[in-house]
Amino acid sequence: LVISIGAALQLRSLARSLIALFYASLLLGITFTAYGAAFAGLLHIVTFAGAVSVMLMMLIRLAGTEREEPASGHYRFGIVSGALLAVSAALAYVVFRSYSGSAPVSTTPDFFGFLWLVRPWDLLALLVVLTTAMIGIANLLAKGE
Amino acid sequence: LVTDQQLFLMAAAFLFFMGLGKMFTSRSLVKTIMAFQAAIFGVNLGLFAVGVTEAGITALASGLVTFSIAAGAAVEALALALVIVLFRRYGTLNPWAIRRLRG
Repeated sequence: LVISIGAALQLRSLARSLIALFYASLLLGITFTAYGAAFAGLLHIVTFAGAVSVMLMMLIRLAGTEREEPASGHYRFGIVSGALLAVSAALAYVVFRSYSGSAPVSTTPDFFGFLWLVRPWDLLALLVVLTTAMIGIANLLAKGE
Repeated sequence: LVTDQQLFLMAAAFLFFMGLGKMFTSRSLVKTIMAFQAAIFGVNLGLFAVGVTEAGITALASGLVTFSIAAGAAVEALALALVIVLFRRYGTLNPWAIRRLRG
């Protein structure tokens, strides 16, 4: 997930960034689903890997700019950003290394859990159709580039 | 050594700050929106990680993540609309060029 998002942010080609971001959305949704938050995971995939990716793709096509413009003297912002990134990574490690977690609250079966138990095939079919369509469009976009 | 929850929280903080850093340094508004999306992913993962227990995910965390997804998508759609307006007006997606064009 981190590698995919890192690639999405660092690649110059906007179409390839979009594809990497799409895979990151998919991975995050699968993580949510695997840990028991099925509705949140599926909503995440449908919203970000589906709707938002299509809107971004439309914007890239509309604007006709396939690549991010090269840097022109804004290196200090890059240095500040890199320093911020290093400090945040160190802070995240120090703070959360010893995080003991929330109290062991027992999970109660909610409506969405019930929906997932009763009608999983509808949601899975939607997911498969959407994923196939998005991967196909994204790959076509990359080839067109 | 490191639990899943701690790993998620570390990844969440990393994603959030990575997105934030790129938002400030990007030279394309499309990339800025992508960086914003990465920051939203970090927030979602953080909210999710706080609710991870041995018995599964708490209902509160699941609801908070769902709300965050909806709010993030709405803000992102609004940002996309604003970017389209800016592109039609200035003909570029480079924020530095837009600043120069504004004078």
